[in-house]
Amino acid sequence: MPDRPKKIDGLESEELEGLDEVVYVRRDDGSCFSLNPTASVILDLCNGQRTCEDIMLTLQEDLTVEKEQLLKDIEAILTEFNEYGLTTSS
Amino acid sequence: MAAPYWSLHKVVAGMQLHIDGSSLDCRDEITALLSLFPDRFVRVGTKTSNDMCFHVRRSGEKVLLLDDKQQLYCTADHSGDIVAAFEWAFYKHTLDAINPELLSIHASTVKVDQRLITFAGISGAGKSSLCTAALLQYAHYLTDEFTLLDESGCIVPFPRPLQWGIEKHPAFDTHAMLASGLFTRAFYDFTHQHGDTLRSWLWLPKHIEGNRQPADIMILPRYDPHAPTADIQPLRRGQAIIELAHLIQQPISIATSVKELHRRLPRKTLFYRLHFSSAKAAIFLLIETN
Repeated sequence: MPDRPKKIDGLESEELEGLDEVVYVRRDDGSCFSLNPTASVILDLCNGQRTCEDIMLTLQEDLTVEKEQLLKDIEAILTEFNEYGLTTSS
Repeated sequence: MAAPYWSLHKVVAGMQLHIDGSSLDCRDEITALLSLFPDRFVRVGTKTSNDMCFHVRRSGEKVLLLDDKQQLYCTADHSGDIVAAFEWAFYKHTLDAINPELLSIHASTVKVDQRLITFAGISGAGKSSLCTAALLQYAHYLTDEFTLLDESGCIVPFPRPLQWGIEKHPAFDTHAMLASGLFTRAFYDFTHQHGDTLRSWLWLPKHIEGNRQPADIMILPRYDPHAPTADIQPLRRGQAIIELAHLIQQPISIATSVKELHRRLPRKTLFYRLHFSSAKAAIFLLIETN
C-alpha cells in the first residue's frame, strides 16, 4: 500500500442517487467500480499528499468509530484500492 | 421521376420510414424484414416528410440502394446483398436518429402477463433463445437485439424479426415452432465477405406488443450447457446498471450510460442474474418467480 496514495487520473464518477452508491468508471478501459459513500470519500481524499493517518483524522470527526479501528479499516480499503488499480503512489 | 413499383411506409420508434423500389428487386424480402412494424397510412399523391428514406433501383445488371438525397448508398449484383445493406443501414440510421431521446440496449424484450421482461447480454448470452421460449408461451413481442429505453423508463417496441443464420435452431424444433401458429418465417440470401452465399432466416412472431410500457424486469442471462436447467438470483440495481452500461449500442461513454440508465429505469424495476441450460425451463422459472 503506498504511503501517500493518489487516485488515478481518468476516473469518472457517477453518484447513484437514492442507492448510497457511487460508480467509478475508468476512462481507458471502461471498467467500473461501485463504492459506498464512505469509501468514495476516502478515494477522493487520496491526493498523493495525505497519509492513511491524515485521511483517518479527516474522517474521524464525522464517524463514531474508535481511532485504531478506523485506521485499520482505512488501511484495508486503501490496500484494496491499490489492488484494483484505483490508486497509485504519488 | 416515375412512380415507384412498390413502396412501404412504416412507423419505427416514432419515426416515419419510407422505402420504395423501381422493380421487383428486394420487394418481398424488405417487406418481410419490416412486416412487424406498424404501417403508416399515406394518401396516394400526397407529399410526406420522412425521417428515414431509402430507394431501391435497378441499373442494368446492378441493383442500387439510394438514400433520401438520392445519393448512392451501395450497389450489388444480387438483390439479396442490397437487402443486407438496407438492413444494416436501417439499424444504423435508427440508432443515430433516436439518440439521445432513446437509449438502445443490446437486449430482447417480451411482455408476459402484462409485465415487460428484458434479456440483456452480449452475443451468445441466450437473449434470443429466451425471447423465443417466452413467445412460445404466448408472450407478446417487443424486440430482439434493440431494446429502446425512453426518458420516462418505458421500453419502445422495435419489432425486427428474430434472425438466425441456420435453418434449424439448436434449442427449438423449427417444425414445432411453425406448427404452433405463433411464428411465420421468411428468408433472404446474401453474399458473405468470403464469397459464399448465406441465408438469413427471419422469424416473425404473431403476437406483437405495439405500446410502450415501463421496464419491469431486467434479466442478465448466461447460457451454460453445463449449468442446472435454470437458476435465478436477484441482482443489486447498482451492479445491474454497471453491466447494462456496457450493453448500450450508441457511442456514449460508460459513465454517461450509467447515469442515464439510473435516471431512466424506474426504481421499481427488478434485476436478476439467470444461469440456464434450458431456455424453456428458464422461462417457466421466471414466470413462477414473478
